[in-house]
Amino acid sequence: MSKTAVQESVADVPSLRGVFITAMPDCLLFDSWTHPDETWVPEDAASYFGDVIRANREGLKSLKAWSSEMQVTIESAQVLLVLKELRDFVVTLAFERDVPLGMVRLHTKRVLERLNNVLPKLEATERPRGVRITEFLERYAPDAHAVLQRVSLRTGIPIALLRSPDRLDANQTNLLEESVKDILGLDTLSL
Amino acid sequence: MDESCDDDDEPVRLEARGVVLERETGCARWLRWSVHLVDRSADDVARALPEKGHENTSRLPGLALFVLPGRHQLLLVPATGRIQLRLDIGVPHEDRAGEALRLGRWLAAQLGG
Amino acid sequence: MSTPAAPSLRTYIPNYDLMNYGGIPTVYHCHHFNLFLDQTIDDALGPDEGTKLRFIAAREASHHFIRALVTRAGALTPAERLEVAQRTFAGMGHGRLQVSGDRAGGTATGEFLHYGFSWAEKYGQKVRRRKPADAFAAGYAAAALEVAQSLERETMSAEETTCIATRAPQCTFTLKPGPQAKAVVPVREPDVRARVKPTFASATGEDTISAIAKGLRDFTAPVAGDERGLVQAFGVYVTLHLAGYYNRISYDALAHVVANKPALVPMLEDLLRESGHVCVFNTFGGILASPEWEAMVGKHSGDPQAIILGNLAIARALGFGHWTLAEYQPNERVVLRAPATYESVYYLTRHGASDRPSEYFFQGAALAIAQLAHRIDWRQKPSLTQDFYNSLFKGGTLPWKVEQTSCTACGHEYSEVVATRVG
Repeated sequence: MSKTAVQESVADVPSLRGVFITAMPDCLLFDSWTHPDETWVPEDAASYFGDVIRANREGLKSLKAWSSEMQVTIESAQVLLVLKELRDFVVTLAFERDVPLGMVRLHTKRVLERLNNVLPKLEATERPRGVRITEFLERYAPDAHAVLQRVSLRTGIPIALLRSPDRLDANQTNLLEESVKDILGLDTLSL
Repeated sequence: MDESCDDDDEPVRLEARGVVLERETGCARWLRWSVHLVDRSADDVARALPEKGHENTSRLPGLALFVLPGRHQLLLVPATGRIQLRLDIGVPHEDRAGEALRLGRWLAAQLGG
Repeated sequence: MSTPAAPSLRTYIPNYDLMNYGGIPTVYHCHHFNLFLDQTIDDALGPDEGTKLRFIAAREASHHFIRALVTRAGALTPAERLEVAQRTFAGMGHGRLQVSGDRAGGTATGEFLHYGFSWAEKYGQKVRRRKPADAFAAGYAAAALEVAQSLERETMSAEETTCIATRAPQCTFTLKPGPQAKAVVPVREPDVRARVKPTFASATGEDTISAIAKGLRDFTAPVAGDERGLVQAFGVYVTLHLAGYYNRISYDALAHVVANKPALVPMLEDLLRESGHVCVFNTFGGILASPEWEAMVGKHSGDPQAIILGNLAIARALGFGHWTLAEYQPNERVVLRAPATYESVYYLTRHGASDRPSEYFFQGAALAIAQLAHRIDWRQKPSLTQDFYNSLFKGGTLPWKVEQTSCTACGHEYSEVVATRVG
């Protein structure tokens, strides 16, 4: 999808600072637009937005409160983010902080309608679980530079294999997953 | 002012009248701050604080060290003009930026700013 | 008011820069090293066996240490002996530990315990920890009760039952008698002195290194734990720690992996090296960036060799050994040598000659020194953030590698590590 199409989708929203389109389930950046004054690196942010939506979905499901209309709004000191699932994507809109919430919702609805018309239908080929687990680990592990060595030491899986996690067999993937849960202190991984 | 301590890696700058604080990186998060005073030097500070009853407890020639209430420290290198504020590690993460700014304002006030 | 750690008990073996406290080998280390090393041991052995080894090592090293201290202090009663042990623990920067009990066991509580407190500080907002962190304090508490009650060495067990690193409100321990551990060869100052090789000067910059090291030692001599048992100098929080603890957990874990999972030995060695790398990068880097350094040594000139010499001075002051610069080719090669390190003297005393170079901290440190000298512009305000640290490993590896080419633990005349630029 061309940058022009994304830009056109947001052209008349002056309070918008950025748009990030994350392809699910792999949480990969699909496309983006950021305001010329921003120094954001879309690739850095996109995968986290996918994780947020996924965790939110699971949390709401546990409360039996999930619906496909779910939308996440995050207010920080500098920016207001709205995250919403749109077919095989998570769309994140970053607004200036002082935009009234009512206007934010209006702009969001409008932009999503436009994006819905231009976003392609993805062939959702889910990547191997081992790949998604290692990417999740490298996103969230402290001391990320050494974490694969740690996993290798814990599990006995050779480091070369951990660097090509698409080649892990089912048993190794399970070992990897347990190790990652231990390292991150999680009971489950939201993948 | 963003008081989040989750992001160690972005520059953080706090401003009050007469003083600017910039976060320095260190062993523990959000504890070290460069202090830049408007129209005042490290020498001015090293002279003014003892006049206000604060003792220079440094054992190192060329370094002035003032221990502030709450175990915070103010370090001055008059020869180079450097001023560093060190917060005590006991300050909760979410309060560190606010505490730094409070001390910056206090320092400016000590200098008549 | 600070908790004095009886600074006069801190000594250095002349010309070797190996530190002892009350006649027991000690070094200064920061929480980066302490946490990463403990974590590595648990990764290698599993959390249960890892915790057990860390406790055993702490108890063994602490028993000899506390016994030496109470003897020097002339402390005779259980209360006096516990007071000496607890006051020293705090003075060394390990936090506050209160031990109570008798020959049948007891309890202990801790505040600002180094491992749990610094783990919460460094990692607590990022990950959840499931197991207590203070095996060292557990071992120290057990040893304190043993010595206080004149029990045989290593007959008291201790378990940390709550820990602030797992988000409990405080750290608590239960102590009870257990089977005595198998005796191992003690490593004390006379053993260290007997194992060092003839010393030598740095091929370059010896006067500079010596002068800075002396200044650092003089400055840190009276530094001791505050009321909370925390030690801060140069803006860095450090512990005065027992070299025997570090060495035992490292080499016992290595022996276990060699015997049971030999294919994983390179991983463990990598992580032992990384413990040294992360420590030196952060701690030495923090010292170099401090106002104290600026006052003592002056502003940085931008000369990488000056950074290397400064790092060697820091290493000597912290008790790591008489590290020297044997060879330096800017941006290509850094060769460090030492007549002994705190690792090699332990290994020789306890295990005899090693069949492989095994001074992992020295190796990791050399790598970090090469990074600090060549990848940071010290004339600007360096930003030693976690992001920057991670960025050193672009593509998963560093652009420098290190090899230990000579090792006094193998019986060689000096220990040598060579850091070279790759690619």
